[in-house]
Amino acid sequence: MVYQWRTGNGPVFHGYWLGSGLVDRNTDVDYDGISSRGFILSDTVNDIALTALDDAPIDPRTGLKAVTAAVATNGDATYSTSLIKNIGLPEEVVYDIASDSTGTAVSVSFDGQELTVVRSDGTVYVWHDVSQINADGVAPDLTYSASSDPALLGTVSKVVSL
Amino acid sequence: MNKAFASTTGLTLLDTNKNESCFITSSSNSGIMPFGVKLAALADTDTTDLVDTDLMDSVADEDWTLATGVLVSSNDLTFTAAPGAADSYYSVSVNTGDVIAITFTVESYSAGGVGIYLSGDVDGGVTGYETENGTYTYYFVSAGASVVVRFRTNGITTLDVTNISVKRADADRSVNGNHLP
Repeated sequence: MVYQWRTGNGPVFHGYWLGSGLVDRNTDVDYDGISSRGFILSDTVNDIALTALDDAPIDPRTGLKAVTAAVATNGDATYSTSLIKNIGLPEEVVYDIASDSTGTAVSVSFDGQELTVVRSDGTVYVWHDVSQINADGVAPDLTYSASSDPALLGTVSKVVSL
Repeated sequence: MNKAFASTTGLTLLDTNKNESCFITSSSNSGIMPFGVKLAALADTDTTDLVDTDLMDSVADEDWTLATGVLVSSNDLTFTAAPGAADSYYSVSVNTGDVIAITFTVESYSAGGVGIYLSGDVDGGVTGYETENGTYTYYFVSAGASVVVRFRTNGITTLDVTNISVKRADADRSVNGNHLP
């Protein structure tokens, strides 16, 4: 558990990290809130999409299923997209997905449980069921590009809703 | 279609259930293509964009070599009791291997007949002689950089040949082999 506060407009947070027990309850530890576990990959966000998964827990405050978000960011040189499941509940968890080795994520879209991410070089990743994503770096089920089969026209920059 | 992706080039539609895709731009639509097909293009064009210049446009009346009994006016030939087995002809520049489509109309038929003999044709030989009014088209393959288009009479011939057109045509690789003039 971490108690945190932000200083200024940058990504650096201060916090009391209790992962080692109450002994550290008053130890102020600076950490990068963006790259640290539990936070999104970059403070530059390019797109965001929301959905409610079939197996999402009920938020007792609203009586509705918890929301899952996909956040397309400029990435951390390894991954580009943060998947935040069960927002606002104790079960909230963040996974880092979608390789960004040659580009950042520019567009994300949900179709039910299916997540589509568009990378800045036009590569498109598809995960059929994000409820099955329970770790960082889960490989997509499908990858499309201008040279794939089927090919995409030009350098795709956005998922279009149908 | 269950997926759509936009780029500055255009729109890609995918149907991952039927394994079909479609490309749409501001000026074209590929239509629905099975996966694996890179392009099934529909051009924004009409038949006039698909044919070459009429080589007759550069032929003047004085370029013709006329047989006895034949007159020319604006590339229309008038045969008046012209003797048989005589050629009226001119030469045009082409490329080796060009498929050449020659179309002409026979009018005011009275006697004899006229056929085309293309000097420089891969196959050689004269076409069948036309002995009635009508419009006729023949295809040849050039054996060199120029060909001589000859209208050859068959017997004493009286008729008019009009609307002569000589165009390079795309080689037809279809089963029907009707070419595209």
